Amino acid sequence: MSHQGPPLETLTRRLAECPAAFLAEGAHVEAVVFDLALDLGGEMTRVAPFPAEARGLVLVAAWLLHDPWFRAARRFAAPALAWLQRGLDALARLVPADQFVHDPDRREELARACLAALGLRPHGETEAQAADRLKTLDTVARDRVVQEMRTREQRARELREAMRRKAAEEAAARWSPE
Amino acid sequence: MSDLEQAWLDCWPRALAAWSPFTKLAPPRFCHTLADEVREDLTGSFAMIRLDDHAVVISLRQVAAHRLHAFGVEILAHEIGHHVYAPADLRDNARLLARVRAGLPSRERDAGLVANLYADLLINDRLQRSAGLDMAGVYRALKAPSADRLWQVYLRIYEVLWSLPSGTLIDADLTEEQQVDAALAARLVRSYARDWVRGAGPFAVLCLTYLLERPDDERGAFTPWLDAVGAGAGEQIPEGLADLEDDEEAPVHPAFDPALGGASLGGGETVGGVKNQHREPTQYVDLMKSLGVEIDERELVIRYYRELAVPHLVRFPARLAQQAEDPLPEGLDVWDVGSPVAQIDWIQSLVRSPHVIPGYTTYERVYGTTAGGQPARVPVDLYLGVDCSGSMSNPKLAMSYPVLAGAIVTLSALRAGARVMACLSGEPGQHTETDGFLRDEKRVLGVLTGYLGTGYSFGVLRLQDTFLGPEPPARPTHVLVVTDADIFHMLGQVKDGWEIAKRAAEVAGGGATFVLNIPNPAYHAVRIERLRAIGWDVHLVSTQQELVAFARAFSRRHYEAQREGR
Repeated sequence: MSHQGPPLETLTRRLAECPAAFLAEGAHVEAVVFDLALDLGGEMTRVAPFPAEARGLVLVAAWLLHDPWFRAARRFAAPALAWLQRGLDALARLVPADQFVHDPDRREELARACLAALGLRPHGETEAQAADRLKTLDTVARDRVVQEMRTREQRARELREAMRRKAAEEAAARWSPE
Repeated sequence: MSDLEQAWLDCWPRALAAWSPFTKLAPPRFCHTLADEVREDLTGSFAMIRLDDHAVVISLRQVAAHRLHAFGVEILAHEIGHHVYAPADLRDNARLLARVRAGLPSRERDAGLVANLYADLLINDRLQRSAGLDMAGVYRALKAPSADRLWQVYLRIYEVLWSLPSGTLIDADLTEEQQVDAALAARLVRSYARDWVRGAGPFAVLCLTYLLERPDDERGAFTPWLDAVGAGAGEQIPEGLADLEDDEEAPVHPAFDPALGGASLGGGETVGGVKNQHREPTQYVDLMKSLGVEIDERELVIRYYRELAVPHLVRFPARLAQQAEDPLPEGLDVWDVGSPVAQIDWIQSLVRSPHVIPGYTTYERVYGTTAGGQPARVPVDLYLGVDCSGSMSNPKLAMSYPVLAGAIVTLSALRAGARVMACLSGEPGQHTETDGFLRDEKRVLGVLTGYLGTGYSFGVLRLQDTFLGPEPPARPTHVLVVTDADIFHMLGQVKDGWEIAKRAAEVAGGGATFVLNIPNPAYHAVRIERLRAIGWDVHLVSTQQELVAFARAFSRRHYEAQREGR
């Protein structure tokens, strides 16, 4: 995140305007990514097939990376390809691709993750601010904690039920036949 | 008037406009001294609201002490938000508290605190993002280190909501779980911003973990911010709280709330539908107490059954008399202050004197009567006997269907203009009854919601006392007795029991009905037929729940019979 990137708002707006074709099934993802790599200044290279569960998100991310700011720089092909190939799998398993178009938080998360993968930070933010905000929105990290919480929450839920019953019994005991 | 007060008064129109150009509310009340605050019941916080009189109260003494001079618009707009957004009125305040309590088993006493925090989040987020007010500035002005983990999470929620860097509002190293909870809560606040009552339960569950770490009644860092904990206090009972709302019971942690969408956060819990359709009486009373409703528990129980009965009310049977009487104007009389205002004849009053002095220069028209051509409806009085023996449950502990059915019929009768006498009887043992036939709903329901738990059945001697004594009811009366199969034993054991029942039905003159909760009617077929033969209608139910349907059908059947002239 050592370099300044585009303003975050331009990226989130671009995601919100993602064409429906990018969300439709059956698109040739590898071809889209191949063209993207060329537009980002890369050379003709073979794009390995993407796993089925990641294809939707890869398409949305490809739409994001096709932003004029990235294309004009003509130096992001390699990190972009690496991110698309390996950086989105965990996220794709947790969040449906259309959420990154329709949900404001997820749009911001994907835009920030994209910038971080390219070694950039949003325009006008410090590295610390960018890292802090990305951490706040990080779905993968949150899911890991939630999975850890699940066992604890199950116990807490049983405890809550027990406490609820006890409270009801105590309330009942307050009254006695007149 | 101090400069500070003037400055904050000048902020008032802008604070109102932050919500809508059309928002209207009485100007705030400013407290300058501790004595002023005590008079307004303002304790701890520098501001508060009251829903019953739509008040906003501000302690300028504390505003100055906390150096919040510059945040007049923000603080006033926040208080207005409690009146126009969350909780806005007594009923929504009660709904909010009910859901929060459901999420805080064993820490229900903290429901006011959590509800206040939740409403503040909703209001502040709206004002910061949509009205452009510097709500973060208020929290920044009071920033102080705190070891309270709930307070840390709470302020981190604001940082997440407003995209503020960590540490802007709270200096603390939050754990990963606290960070996740703050992110989830922020998402919850946004997701439920419109349907905010539904988000209260999950928010409370999230807070419970941290509340359990805290000492009882410890408010610590929250104290200055608690401006709505007593918002619902007073003598008004919010309507519609006897029923449970969908998904009100057993709220889930936001991490497992599918309504929050976004990530697949696991399937450890699912949101369940409503299990019961109504609160139990004890839950209802506890909820009212936590709201600060200053009304006796017995009256709350009456209100509970009344609320449950109201949706079932239908017209009570009325009998056709031979002739009605038409009103005949007979002049004027002084209108007294105890009479309905609608009876004042304003034209005649103002003709007599242009200066209106109630009770002296106010007049009402006096009417005589003349025989009319249309038949009039005479409401049939109701004698309601309810078995309150050991086999019946205490209506204060659990929802009692005999009492609810009694309330439905009673309120229908009273609405139609009839008088009602209620009798609870658990005999041999005790009985309690109203002092004759009354139009006083509270006294009748007061008897109905009582509890005896003695004996084995309704006492047939109660019918003898009322209908076969020296002063039987002067008006036609329908006798309705709700009991079970033990009544047959009672009729056989009491001397002339069957004869008393027969004569009571005859003397009542408006019909007589036994509602018997009997799971095996075939076994009692002969006795049931004998009851019918001595003039009683017999309605059989196999569960107490069926009593409610009976109560509705009872009125309808009799009303239709009268309409047909039978």
